[in-house]
Amino acid sequence: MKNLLNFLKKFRDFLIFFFLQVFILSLFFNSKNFHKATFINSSSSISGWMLDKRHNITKHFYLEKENDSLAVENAKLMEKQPNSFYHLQNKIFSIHDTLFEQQYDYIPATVINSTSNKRNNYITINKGTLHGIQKEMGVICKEGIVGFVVDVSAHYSVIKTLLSDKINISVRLLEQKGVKGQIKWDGRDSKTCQLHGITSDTRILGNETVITKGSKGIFPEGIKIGTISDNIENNGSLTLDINVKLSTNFDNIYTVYLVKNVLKKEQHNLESNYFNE
Amino acid sequence: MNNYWVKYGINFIFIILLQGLIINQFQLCGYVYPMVYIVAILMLPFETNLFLSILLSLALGIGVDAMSDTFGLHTSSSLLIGYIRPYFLKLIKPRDGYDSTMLPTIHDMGKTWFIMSTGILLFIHHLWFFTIEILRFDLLDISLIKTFLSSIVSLFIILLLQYLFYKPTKQ
Repeated sequence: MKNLLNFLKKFRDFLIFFFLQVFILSLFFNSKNFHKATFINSSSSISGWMLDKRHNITKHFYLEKENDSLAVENAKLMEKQPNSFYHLQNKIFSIHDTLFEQQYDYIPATVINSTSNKRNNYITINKGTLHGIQKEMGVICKEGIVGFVVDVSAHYSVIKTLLSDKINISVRLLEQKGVKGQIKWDGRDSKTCQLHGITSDTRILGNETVITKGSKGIFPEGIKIGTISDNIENNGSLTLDINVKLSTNFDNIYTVYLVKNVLKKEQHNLESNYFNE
Repeated sequence: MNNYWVKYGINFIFIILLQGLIINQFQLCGYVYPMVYIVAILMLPFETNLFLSILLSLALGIGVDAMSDTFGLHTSSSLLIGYIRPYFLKLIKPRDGYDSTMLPTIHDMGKTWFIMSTGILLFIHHLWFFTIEILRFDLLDISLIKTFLSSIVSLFIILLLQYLFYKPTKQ
């Protein structure tokens, strides 16, 4: 007993250090799992508040560029409005079309903190549970896909971006609807990611667009991810190694939209009977 | 000495804010991510006991983690530095010990001593950070390049801060 006490006394500092280190590293490795982000992060009220104050100072540097691109987006959306079409056949044109019901709602938000040079990159936005944001909502921007919400507080939320490990998004090609695969990021370059799971007998013409499949109900179908860059390697295995040039510029991201799927709960309840985890 | 701890507390908070609000936004290229906050541990007096050093590095790491979404990575690396610094100082101790009126700043200890000791601790810190962050053998090259480039940039910023914010102790 006395020896044990002496031992503890002698190694007290080492033991404190060791247990703290193990505890914190376990929190860190848990946070890679997308359901368990538990450590204090920038959605907490104090640091969120400070990042918000910094954003209030620096936001003016980006406003002009942002206005230009929003105007371009507005123009594109205006082309799709009913009043910019003329009636080819008067009788069958209807604005309140009951064939379509709303499935996805979008909540706009502004980025107040972001990184793109780490292994796991996160974004903080200035909206939280008060604005209707929940965990696991998908996040897109006007150029393409951004990521998922991993943690929410009253006024802020943290988004895990596509530039992370253990992220896995089902995609397909725009022209060839049957060609499906998964998007992953290997951690090398913030402008390209990798497309896995496409068999080597598929013929891919250069510069094809990769879009989301929308099968999990997190993202709508057809959100752009990027274009396939030219060098496709066939290394003799069953699947191809394909690099995809991302359309979203993660170095310079300002306005994002959170995707709220009205039917997600229904889909989840139905699927959970058959796929447990 | 009391006065010193007040000043140290202000510096401590200032360094967390500096790292969290300004230096985290440096994105020179994908390989440079400077981390200068461990200067708060390096500025502790020579005779600080190990327990206090660990506690302060824990607080420092949590403060930085809260602002940069790293989920404990900064805390882990800063704990490591807080733990090994007293042993490291013992290892490079001059023959007649440290002068207790001196502080480990560049003005009191000289350029060579400061750059060497800070450089080694920074390198260990960055190596730990990027290795744990990436943790894959096929990306070993990237973690080493990131460690080297970021250590150099961090050391440069720390030297700049030394000349801006510290004065020689009056003898």
